[in-house]
Amino acid sequence: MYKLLLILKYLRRKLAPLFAALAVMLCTAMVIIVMSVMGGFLDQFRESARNLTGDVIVEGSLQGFEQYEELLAVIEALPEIERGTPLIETFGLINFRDSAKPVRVQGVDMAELEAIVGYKHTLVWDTEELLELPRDLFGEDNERYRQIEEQLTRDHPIDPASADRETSDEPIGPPEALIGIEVNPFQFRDENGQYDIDRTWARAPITLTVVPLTSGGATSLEQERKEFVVVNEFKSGLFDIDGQYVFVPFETLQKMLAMDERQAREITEDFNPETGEGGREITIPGRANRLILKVAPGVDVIDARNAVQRTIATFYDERESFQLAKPRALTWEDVHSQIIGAVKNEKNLVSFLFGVISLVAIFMVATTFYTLIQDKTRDIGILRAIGATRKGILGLFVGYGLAIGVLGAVGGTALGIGVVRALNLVQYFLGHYLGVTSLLIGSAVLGGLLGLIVAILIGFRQRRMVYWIKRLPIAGATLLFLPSLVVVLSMSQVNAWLNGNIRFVMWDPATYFFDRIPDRIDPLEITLIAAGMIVSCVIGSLIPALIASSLEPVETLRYE
Amino acid sequence: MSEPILETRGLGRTFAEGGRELRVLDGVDTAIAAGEKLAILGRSGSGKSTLLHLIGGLDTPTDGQVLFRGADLHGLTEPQIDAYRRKHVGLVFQFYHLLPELSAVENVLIGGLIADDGRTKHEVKQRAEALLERVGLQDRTKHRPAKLSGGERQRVAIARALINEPDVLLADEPTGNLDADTGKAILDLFHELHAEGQTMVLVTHDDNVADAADRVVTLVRGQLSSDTPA
Repeated sequence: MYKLLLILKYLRRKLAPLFAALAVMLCTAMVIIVMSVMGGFLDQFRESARNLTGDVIVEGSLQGFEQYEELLAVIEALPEIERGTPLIETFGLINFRDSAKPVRVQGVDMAELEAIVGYKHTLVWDTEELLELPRDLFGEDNERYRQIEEQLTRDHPIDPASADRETSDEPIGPPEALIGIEVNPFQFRDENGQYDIDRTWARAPITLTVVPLTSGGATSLEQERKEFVVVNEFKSGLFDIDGQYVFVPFETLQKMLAMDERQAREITEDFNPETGEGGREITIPGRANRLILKVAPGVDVIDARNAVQRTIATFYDERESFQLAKPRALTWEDVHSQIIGAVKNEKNLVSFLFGVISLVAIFMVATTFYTLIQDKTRDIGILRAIGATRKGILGLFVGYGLAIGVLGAVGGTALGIGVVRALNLVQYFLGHYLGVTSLLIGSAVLGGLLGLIVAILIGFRQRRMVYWIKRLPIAGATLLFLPSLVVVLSMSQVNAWLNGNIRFVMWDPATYFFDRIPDRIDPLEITLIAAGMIVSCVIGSLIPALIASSLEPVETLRYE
Repeated sequence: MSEPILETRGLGRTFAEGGRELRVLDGVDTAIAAGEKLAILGRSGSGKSTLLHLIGGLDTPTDGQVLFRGADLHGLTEPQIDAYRRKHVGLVFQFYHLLPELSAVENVLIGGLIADDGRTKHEVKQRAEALLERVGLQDRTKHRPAKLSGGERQRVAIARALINEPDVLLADEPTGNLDADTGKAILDLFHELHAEGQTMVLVTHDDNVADAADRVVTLVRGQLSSDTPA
């Protein structure tokens, strides 16, 4: 019990340990902020990538693989796989209001995609926003409006039945397309990373051009062009995905790429190339170049991938009629391994940095404690003289290290979480609101906060916390507010310069990969960081504590 | 003389300093009876503080024995000697040796907390407050040592030494750092405590302090020069 009494007294009366705790707090907060941002970056990327890719992907070459439906049926029978759907991905060019842009096109059944990966939460515009323009144009009683309303209130924005529609002459337009929000060349993120609905694009047709590939991989001389109507935009939060991907009905894309099942004639001796008669009538099977699969609950994606890979091998071994190369099974992480690996490496580097910071904390606490023990040699002698054991002295100083660690880690965790949570808000204000009002309010808030910290420190030492908290924050706010007021009033030029030149942006949402700073909080990770810091402090206090416990009472009392 | 509570037999202590051996205490034989007030008198460097440290279990003799109730103190293990210091002796130093971060009452009760003898913190605190009242500091319990005078600090140190009701109170130059009036007040306090039956050993170079003792042992250059009733 005497140890607790002394630890609390030392914490209260000595500034050096409080500074050590402050340093531990800042170290903890720094690591939490960096890990949260890096981890959030990785998670955001993984989530976006997984949303687009599925858990396990059966990937063929660009020209695809045949018997994909049979293969999917066999794969879906696996206990590791919950469900799957075929998908075609290809490169294309869209022409949107006379602006051409290269894109990656995916042909997929959106209902299946929702069931497998869940894309709906990425849709940017709700039905009301989308119906605004048709309502203005046609009025609510108009037949066309009702058709559009029916189209936009469907469960999924792309109707597979729209695949057969050919032109915009049809009542509800050509086949439907869903585009990434950055694919739209007329869509811009504002300085806050927000989008405004561009009403002019709504229901405007886009023309998609793709190049069909034969089964042998040769490109057709004839490009395929088709009109689509954009029914919504999606925003995964990952710029590369939002700026490249276009979803269209599976059948439409399959036909455009000549990957659907077709009748043809095999050239035999009796084939007449002029009339096209003769030869043998054959069926060219339909193709897809991907299957996206959802793994059954509780199954590891790698186990699922391996099971799928074995199934593909067996499927191809049992049949001999394949002309195209057999596809391979990949996890979603395999597909995006390069960028995920890069981000993971960065995160690992941060973890290494955390190790270094922990060492810094250890040495910092060790130094503080060593100095403290030099200062407390006489006290140690007194405690020993009145009966404290060596173990007791050891426990006292290790407990002291633990207290500093807990204080720093808890404070650092609170600060770290606070900063991570406020990061986007802070950068928003820093970047965009350095006006007169913000400067004044900011100065007052800063002064108040500084006053609060000083009040807590003084109050802690004097045990008059309420007294100082009532006075110092107000004094601090006033003290910083008044000079700021003078600056603002007397130096309007400075203010103009500040507004015009210092637009400090930590993270520009208009240009960066992600539109906001990732602010993920992982409780386990934070607990480990805080625990690591506490352990570092205990380790840091251990050697000085051992030195303290080895002191002989009579020697230390002669110190006087 | 009744059965001695503390006894030294041929007690010696040699320090190695700068490659030389310094014989500070040499063959000291003496005994302290229960309820006795013994003064150890001597000039600076005569070895009286060393003798007190050895009796208090703070130091280890080079030769000879310290017997507490007949048991050789230095045949005990270190935790046993720690327990001896906690339970059986109370130490008062010339420079008070109070913990600066603690208030007067905390300085007193910490000895009781260290003893960890089954008393609750509340009980220990009550005892500490009673002791401070006993030494006349009931109004200064919450003051830290820096806010107390020398005499008050020494009273706190005496209260601390008494917190675990020790068998022997050992005081090293208890008035050595005090003015004459304050020193006299402290001596009066010792006298009162002795009158209440407290066994005590006072180390001093001051004849006035020695005069107030039942018996005076004089040390000259580490050796017992005389052992006489005051």
